[in-house]
Order: sequence, then C-alpha cells, then structure tokens
Amino acid sequence: MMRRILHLSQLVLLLCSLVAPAASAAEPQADPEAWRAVAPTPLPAKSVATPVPQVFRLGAMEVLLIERHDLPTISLQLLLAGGSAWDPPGREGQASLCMELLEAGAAKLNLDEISDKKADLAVAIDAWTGVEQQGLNMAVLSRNFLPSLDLFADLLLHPSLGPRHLANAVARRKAALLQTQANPALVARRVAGPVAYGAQAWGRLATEASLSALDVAGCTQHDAALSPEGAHLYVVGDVTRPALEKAWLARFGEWKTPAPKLAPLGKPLPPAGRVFAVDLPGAEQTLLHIMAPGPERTATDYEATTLMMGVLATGFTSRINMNLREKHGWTYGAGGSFQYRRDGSLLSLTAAVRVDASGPSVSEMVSEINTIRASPVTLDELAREKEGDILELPARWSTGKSIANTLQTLQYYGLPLNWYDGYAARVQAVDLAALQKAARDHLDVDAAVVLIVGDFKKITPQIEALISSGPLAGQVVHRLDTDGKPLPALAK
Amino acid sequence: MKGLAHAVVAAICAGWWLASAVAHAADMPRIPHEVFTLPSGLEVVLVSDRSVPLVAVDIWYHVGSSDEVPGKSGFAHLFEHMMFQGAKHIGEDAHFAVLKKAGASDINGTTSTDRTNYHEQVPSHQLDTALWLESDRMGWLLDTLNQKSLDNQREVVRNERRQRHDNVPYGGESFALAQLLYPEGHPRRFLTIGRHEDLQAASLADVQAFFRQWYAPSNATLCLAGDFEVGEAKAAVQKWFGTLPKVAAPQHKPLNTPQLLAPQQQTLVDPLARLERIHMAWHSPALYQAGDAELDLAAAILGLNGSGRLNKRLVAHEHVAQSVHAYQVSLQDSSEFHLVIDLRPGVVRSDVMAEIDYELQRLRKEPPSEQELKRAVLSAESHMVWGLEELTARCELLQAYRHYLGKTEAIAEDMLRYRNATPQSVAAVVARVLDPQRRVTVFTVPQQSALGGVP
Repeated sequence: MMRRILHLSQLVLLLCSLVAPAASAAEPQADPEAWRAVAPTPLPAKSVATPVPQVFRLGAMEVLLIERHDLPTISLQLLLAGGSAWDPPGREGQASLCMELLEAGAAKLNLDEISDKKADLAVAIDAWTGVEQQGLNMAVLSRNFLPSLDLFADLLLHPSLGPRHLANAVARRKAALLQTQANPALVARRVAGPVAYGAQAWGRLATEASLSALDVAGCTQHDAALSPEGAHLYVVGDVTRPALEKAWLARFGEWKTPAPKLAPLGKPLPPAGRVFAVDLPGAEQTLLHIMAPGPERTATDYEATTLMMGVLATGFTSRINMNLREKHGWTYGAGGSFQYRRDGSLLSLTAAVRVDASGPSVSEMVSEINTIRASPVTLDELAREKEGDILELPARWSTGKSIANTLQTLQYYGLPLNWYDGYAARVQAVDLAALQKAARDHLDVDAAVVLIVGDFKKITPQIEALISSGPLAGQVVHRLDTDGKPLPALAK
Repeated sequence: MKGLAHAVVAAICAGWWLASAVAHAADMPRIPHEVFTLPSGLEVVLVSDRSVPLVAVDIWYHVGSSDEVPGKSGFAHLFEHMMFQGAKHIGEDAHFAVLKKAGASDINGTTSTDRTNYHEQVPSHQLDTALWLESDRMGWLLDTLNQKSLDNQREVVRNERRQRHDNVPYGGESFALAQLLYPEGHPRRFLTIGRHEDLQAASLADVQAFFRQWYAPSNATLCLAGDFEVGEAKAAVQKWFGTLPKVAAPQHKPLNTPQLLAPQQQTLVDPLARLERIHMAWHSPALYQAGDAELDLAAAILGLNGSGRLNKRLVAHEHVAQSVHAYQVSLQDSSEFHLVIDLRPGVVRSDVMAEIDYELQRLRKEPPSEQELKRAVLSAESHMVWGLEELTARCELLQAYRHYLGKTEAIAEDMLRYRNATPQSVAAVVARVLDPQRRVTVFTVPQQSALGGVP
C-alpha cells in the first residue's frame, strides 16, 4: 500500500541506469535532470530549547507569562475550575449558558454598551466551557490592553443577569440545538458522547428539556463559585511581568472567592452493545465513529502509543487514511487519535464516507486495527513517525499561541512544564517491539463500539451485512435518537 | 543574523504603537522582503525572519476555477489534488510521507476562483527537501500521472463536495445563489468545487492540457518566509528551480460579469435545515478596486458581532434572528457582497425582510456615524496585525498583493484604503452597489415533514 520509494534504492537504480548502457555501442543521451532523483541531504537540525514561561502567582491564581514583543498584541486565557461535568442533574447546559451570559451584562454596562465597548477597543472577549474546565479569553492590541482589562474584570466580577437575557439565550440555544440535530456530522459528534460514556460527565448532553430548566438562580450560583483558587492565567504577548501584575491587581485585588467543591467525575458508564446507529433521512454521506477506552495521558508508553497512532490513524500518511481515501476513494479523510481526559482516554476514529461504502469502511477500519496489533509496522513507517515527531518540535514552539496551548495541555494532565525536555530521546528510544506492544495494550478491539449515522433507507443492508459476518458478527444494532436515547429495535 | 529579525520586529512594533487615525508612512506594519525573478519567469519572494528555526514555503499558481471552461467545472481544484499524487523524481505518493518525516506542518493546497496555492512549513534545515518536492511537481508532474490515481482523486473530491456542501445544512444555497448571479457558461456558476457530472467526466488528457497551459514557472510565485540567510535561499531556489524551461505566461480571459437588471429570488427546501435562512448577495467591486474597502467597512457596520446594526436590532433586541453575517467576498474582476440571516423558529420572514430593507436603505441614505466607521476601520487594522504572526500568513499577504496588484509592496496602500474612507464614501458605495434592484436572494426553508415529525 505504501508506495514510498526509499531514497537509497533510488540512488542505486539511478547509478545502474547511468552506468550500464555505457558499455553498449549506442551512446544514450544522459538526462541532465537525473540528479533530482536523489533526495537532498538535509543540513544538521538546529536544536530548540523548551521555552520557559515566567511562572508566578497573583493572589490565589497561577500565572504563566510568555513575553513576546514582536507584535503589538496581548492574549489572555483564564482557566477556571468547574465545567459542564458539574451541571446539576436535569440542568445540562447550565455552565455553558452561564459563562456565555457573563458577556451579556455587567455592573454598569448593558449588552449594547458591552458590544460597543468591545468594538471601540477591537477586543475579543470570549467565554468558553469544557467538561472539566471553563474560562474567559481575551485578545487585544496592546495599546488597548488596560481599558480592555477593565471590561474583562467587570464582566467576570460583576455579572448582571436579567431574566429577559437568560430567556433569550435559552431560546437561542434551543434553536441551535434544533439545527444541530439535523446536521449529520454534528449529530454523530453529539451522540458519540453518550455512546462512549453513558450518563457520566463526558456523555451528558444539553437537551430541549434540560435547557428549559435553566434559570437566573442557577447562573447566580454558578457565577458566585468562580474562584481564583485553582485558576490559571496564560498570558502571551507584548506585556512585561510588572505591568501585568500592576494591571491585574488593580482590578482583581479583591477577588477572593474560595475554591468551589467539585465532586470527582466517576467512571464512564457506557451502555451495553457494540453497534449503535442514528437514522438521518436525507443524509448524503454516512458518519462513522469507532471508539474504545484508551490509556491515560501520563502512561509511561505515551510516546510509543502516539507513534503507533501516527502509523494507524493520525495524519494524512496514516494507514486508515491511505486505505479509505487514497486506495478506495471512499472519503475526503479518515483517521483519529486517543482523546485524552484527566483520568483516561478514548480511542476515536472517524470518517464521513460515501453512502455505498458505509459497511466496507467499518470493516477496513477494524481490519487496520487488527493488522497493527498482529504484525510489526515497517521500519519505514517507524522512521517516518519518529523523525517527524522530533523534527516537528520547533513548530510546537513557534508562536506564543502554540507555546501557551502546549503548556496549558501539560498542566491539564498534571505534567511538569519541562515535560518536553528529553522528549526527543524518549521518542528515539521507541522500537518496533515497543510500538507493537502499545498497539496490543491500548487498541482494545473487544471493547470497541461502532456508531453509524446516516440514511437508513440507503444503508440498512450494509449494516445488516456488517453484523452477519466478520468482527461484528452476531451483534445487535441499537437505534438511537439524536439525543443518544435508545429507540425500539427495527422490526426484521 | 539576530539583528535582522529584530529590525523586522521593531518596524512592525513602532508602527503600531504610533498608530492613529491620521495616516502617515511610519504608521504602518511592514514585512521586509526581497523579490526577484528567475530566467524561467518564476517570481520569488523572500521574507527572512530568523527568530524560530522554521521556513514557510508557499507557492501561488496564478490560475483558479475562474479559468475553467464550460463543462469542466471543479477542474482547477481536482487538478490541485493531482499535484499531491507524485512526480517524476520524487516518485508516486511521496509528498506527504517525505514531508511528515521531515517534520513539516501545515501541509496543504487550496484552490479559489482566482488562484491555487501549495504550502508547507518545514524546520529550516529541511528547506531543500521542500524545494525538491515543489520543483519536481512544477516541472515533472505528468511523468507519473496515471488513470488509477485520477479515478481515485475524482472520488476523493466528490466526497469533499459531499462533506462540504451536499451533506451539510444550507449546502444547496451557495449553488443556488451562484446560478442567480452568473449566467450559463460563466465559470463561477458552479462554484470552485464544481458539479459532480463535470468531475466525473474529467480525463487524463484534461490534466495534461491544464498542466501545460497553466502550470508554467512564469505563471507562479514562490514565497519563502522564515529562518534563512537570503543569499543561501537564493542559491537553493536557483538550484531547484533554475533549470525549469521558460515558457510564455498564459493569458487569462477577464471575466465578464453581467449587471443584474432586476431583483431575483428563489426558495429552496432543504432536508437538513431546521431554521429558515435569508441569504442575499450583490455583485460588487473587485478586490483592491474602488469601493472594495468601503464594502468591508459596510459589512462591519451592518454585521460586526455584537455591535453591528443588524446584529443589535435582529439578534440582541428583537430576538427574531439566530445570527447575522455580512461580508464582502473580495475577488478578481468582480466581487460579491453577502448578507446571511438565520431566523428563530416561528418568526415571520417577511417582517424580518422589511427590517433588513429598512436598515439597508438607511445606510444608503445617511452616512454612518464617525464612531461606527472608526470601529469598522479598527476591526480591519486589528485583523491585519493578528494575521502577521504566522510565517505562512505573511507569505499569503504578499502573494495576494502580487497576484491582485502586481506588486508586493502594498501594505500601506492596503491600510490607507480603510483609513481614508469617510462616512460619505461608505454610504455612496452602499447606495451604488447594494441596490435593491440588483439583488439576488435565496430563502432556505426546512422540509415541513422534518419540522412536524418526531426526531
């Protein structure tokens, strides 16, 4: 399948073809461009040091500052404890709504005034909510930093919530949900949560009913728990530590909310079954997700696992993409990776495929998993992934934004900020056996589930063929609605 | 060499610290660079910045879907896919694998109506590897071309169309708008992605002819940005591209975009839509031509997230719209101005149409306030500054100037278009271009069965 030619063998062929004919009588015309068949020898790689941020505390909050003065811009990312995991039961969507509403009102400013002020300063202030984190980001030209920070502080510390704003935001979310439930790619992403995690935090979804339960009291409670304790502030750009400290303390000096009490998340509770399907009449492609529990991010074989996933699924050259896209032409792109959480990960392989290739695509993806478990990868593949991973380090450290993202990710998993020291050596040490062990240990085919989202009128025979023979033989197809709730089985 | 990088930085920095509403030469971001042309006609732009050991390689071929002929819609983009399939000396399917091993990131190609680009970012010690790959497909693409590979990429591209257009809500409306805006035979009528039947009909002979017509070195511009010494980079470019033959640059046929004489509208029933959408569009002045910047500013005045007039009115105050987007799609020869409004369920569309018409009429008749204009200009400037961080983005900006204006030294001119706009000039362009008699509108409505049924 991989038709990549070794540079060395090209060199050998080239020499042969030039030397051999010389013995014959007819003098062939030498190709003046033949030298191009030899890949250039790269210069020695430049070494890159792991960037070291300035780390300090402002009150109870930890700050990581990456000072950069090449552009007159400053960006802040404030990460706060909390997230959708702690939405009260039946109020899924609460944290996300409340964070959004931080942008809608403040002590002395109404929504219009906030919008105008943002435009006057050309500042982007965006609230966001994840499962285990939530936060407020700001991006601004440095000359407008101080007035923008005034606004940022006002929104965070003095939220002002009217019932009318809340009702409007809820109505807007319901309309968005209605549209999401008709979008094949978004339905697949949405339903993947409950299929992989069940009712555990990572599988809970906001629904029409849960959005209807949200109220001002819930957001008041949510906002009152926003605390500097356990918070991290990532700052990138054109600001010095003293200037930042002074600006921050002048606005947040009195912010002393105690840390919220957050219950642990608990184990995933996936529903029984291996094959799940959602019917979307009118879908012009089929969305496929193959999922299985994976290792923790802090596992000692992380590098071997990542390299293995590079061969199997991550990036253009991965086997799954080369198979489904470049060999069969079934998709515009296929693949995936382990999606890590604090307490584990999920193998997630996805593809949007041609309707008539829905079943065969699942079979090929499963077959690629089985192959990489059963036999070692090629030396070419191993070299490509190892060298590529090591040489890509400068790109990871190329911009303030990419540095901040990397450091943030390390802290999320509880890894040290200097984790990338020695990374190259750790990657270099991975051999064929270590890579295959990672495949066997972490690609849990027996626990893998398949989610199929498409137009049942077109794909039912393929789904039936999938469960009549092959790796999913004998499985039952569990029909789900677009909230991931079970529907009655299809009559035979 | 550190000094040079700092000089770049200082120039940009000083300019922006001093920025004010009054335009003067010192008040501009700069991207110091060098331009030269090889005997083959290949133009080269070098942006040296030694702060990080990376180089962005970005080639524009001055051909896009607007150069397609009837019956071959989508071909420029399908061809772009074929450029990743291999070439004589690098071998088949080598491109991604070689770059992956070299530690490259941001590897891709894109096709628009006007041009096609190919780019990758490599660690600077691997610059030769990137130039090896790029020069081989510029010179020797056809040597490895084969039917199997074309059949495969045709399917890949048709899947791309399904993923981007056919299998997403509102995917049909951009095709419907294009057919209202452009007559039969116009290359923009079927969008850059093209029609399935045209893609299906593409042949090896088409690929060969397209390559020979458009992919000459004299129809391309190569930009390198990042960690290199200029003399060494010149030598490397000379080594890899210097022996490519000189062929006359192909001639583009300028597009003949008709004026619309009467408003047109169409209603689409979309099985994947659940919210009604109003999408209107007008023909508008080409990129960098008179009126283009004013329409960027008008788009911000109408649709800037939060503070735009239509956002405030329809989204924030009256709660009748889910979202409002206004934007000028700036293109060669002629552009398009778009206004897209998603309605809340249960809202009466004609009521919202009346409000949109009222706001458009207001902007035609009365100049916007100084404050509104200032916000719109600042938004454009801020967008420009944030866009200078990535190496590839710096190449893309210079490439755009070269392609559309014929020169790379154009940041100041570009920025002054915005700073010199006045409330009166914005209103005048809005009155001339966003004419109710020259508007096309597509209404997307959900299938009634989908709304009534059980999910």
